[in-house]
Amino acid sequence: MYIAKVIGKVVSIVKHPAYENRTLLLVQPLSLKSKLVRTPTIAVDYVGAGEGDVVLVGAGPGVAQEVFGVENAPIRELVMGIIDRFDVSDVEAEAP
Amino acid sequence: MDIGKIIGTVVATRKDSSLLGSRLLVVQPVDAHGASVGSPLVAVDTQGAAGYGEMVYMVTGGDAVGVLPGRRMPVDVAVVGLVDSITVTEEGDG
Repeated sequence: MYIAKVIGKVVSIVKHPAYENRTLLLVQPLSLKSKLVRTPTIAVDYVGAGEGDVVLVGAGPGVAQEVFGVENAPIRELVMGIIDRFDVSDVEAEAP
Repeated sequence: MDIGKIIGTVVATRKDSSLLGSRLLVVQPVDAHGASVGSPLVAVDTQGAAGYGEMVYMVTGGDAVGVLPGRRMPVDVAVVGLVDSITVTEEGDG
């Protein structure tokens, strides 16, 4: 999993059935110094996250299938938690 | 799922039988505004509606193999949806 921020919303009508009536959020990974890093991707929301929320994104293959029972689910990134805060002791040592 | 823009198609008459009937697209990974990120790749199209220049999103890796029900394809990138619109409320300076 990784920490990300919801920076937008995605509308998509033609899509794989596993995404039916799911909200698609635009998320971007957050560094431990709370800076947006790397490239935004699209994640499927499972917890009612909204724009501006800091979230926990699960990115393992087959996560949606096992945990959420969505059969044959090509869901690479899914939002599985909304993070209230995170504390990191030695942020200087962390990669940019 | 990674965002991409369709920049071409691939025609391969001799290919694995599980790929018969599905289109192969050349996709350029992009950011939320359509700016290119990294190099183009070939993805199997599972929605059959994506045309040139359209923005799509893709699953990569192990998730792509079983995207189409009832068959397992030797692929690691599959287009799983078309983007109609993306609203970006916050910009990363990264």
